[in-house]
Amino acid sequence: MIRPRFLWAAALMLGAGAATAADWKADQDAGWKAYKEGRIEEAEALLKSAEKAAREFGAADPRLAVTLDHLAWVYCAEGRCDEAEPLAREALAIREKALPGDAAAMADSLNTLAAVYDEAGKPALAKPLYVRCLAAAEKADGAESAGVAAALDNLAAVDHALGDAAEAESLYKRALAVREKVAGADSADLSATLHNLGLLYIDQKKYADAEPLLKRALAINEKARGADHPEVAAALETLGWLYAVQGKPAEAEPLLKKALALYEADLGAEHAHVARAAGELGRVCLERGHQDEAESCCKQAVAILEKSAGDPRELAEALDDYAAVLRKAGREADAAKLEARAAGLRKPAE
Amino acid sequence: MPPPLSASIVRRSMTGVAALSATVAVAVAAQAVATSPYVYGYGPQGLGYYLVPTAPAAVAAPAAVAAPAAPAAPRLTVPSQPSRATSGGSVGPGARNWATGNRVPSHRPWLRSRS
Repeated sequence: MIRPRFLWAAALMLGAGAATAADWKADQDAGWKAYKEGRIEEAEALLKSAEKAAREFGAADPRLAVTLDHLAWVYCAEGRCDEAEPLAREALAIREKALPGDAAAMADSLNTLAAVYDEAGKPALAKPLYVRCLAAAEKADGAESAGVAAALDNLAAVDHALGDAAEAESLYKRALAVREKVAGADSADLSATLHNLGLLYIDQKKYADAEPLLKRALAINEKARGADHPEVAAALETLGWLYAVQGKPAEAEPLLKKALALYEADLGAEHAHVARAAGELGRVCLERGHQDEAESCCKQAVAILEKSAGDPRELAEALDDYAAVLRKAGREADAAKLEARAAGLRKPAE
Repeated sequence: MPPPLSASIVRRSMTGVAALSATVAVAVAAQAVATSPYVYGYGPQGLGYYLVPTAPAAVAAPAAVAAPAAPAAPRLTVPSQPSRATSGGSVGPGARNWATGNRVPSHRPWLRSRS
């Protein structure tokens, strides 16, 4: 089968000729509209055409920065962060030279390059850019704005990933306060910040602080997105996980069961989130003495992860969970085999 | 339905219009074959869940579910499989935080363009 991308490229090549400002604008606007509407492949073709036109305006032209910045987002949506990075860096360099006083343009580019590093799993490189982005966003949008809240949330998330819990907590709280003021206390915009701050408290074993935040995130998601939305599954899973880590399996089990069923319906039976929820439920069922159900869940998690190209440590942990179930059932030899396989999977990652 | 085409592409490449329209229609139809209504990945609304266009559940929600108060979930068509980071991979915001031991990843809807 011919890949649609090649057909787009072939069609665009037919239109060779001198680019005009109108050509650039038409492709730039249509490409960004396609991206915003989730038509990623079409967005890539149009923005590449816009890039070609913009390069004819000169290497320092701010229009080139706009297109490169947007094309970087398209590549990220396609999982091509390595290709997005040079584009985002070039866009930022153009704006630093051509528009240093334009806080909004600088915030756009700083946010893009930071996000590219963030998505590539490089939070240490993302952090200083998010710090600069926050300052530019405060200048461009005002201290209490949705743009500033987003910058605070992103900076908090990288601080969380880097292990700076105190800084992350302070930033999440600031983001929450801004969002409550800007969007209202029941806005769906609050749910991610509530979830992330709840997770931070779980990491710190501040379970009493985490619980009201996670319950509030669940209520907001159910009301704003509908009871069957995968965000609701994620909120149920996190609340279930909170109870599980506190040794409250009876409270965790119904939440994790509901989360698992929703993930299966929303994402398909083979999704990594299904495996994760099944693994958590397996642990909880084992703790409750529900041997058959625990085995079934652990088997499900292992089967999904064996087929996926994901992190081998996830499969190793699922195998260990399964081994614990078998050991409790007195199947020592089978459990030992699984544990040996898990140890082999962990070696290359360590 | 094929998406609207850029004015400049139409002007500079009239002969490609039919092929382009058909191509996008094929891409959307291929995704509609998937049985699950949502995908998880990066898109215009950050890292999160997106409706797959024309998936059955996206067209007809169960009657027992109250209509969402928020705007409909954003839709996404991507030309490639979701990246490893969003499907159980080892790096990035969609991956597990092994440093803390927490199994649930952070939510990152704000990993999106400011434009």
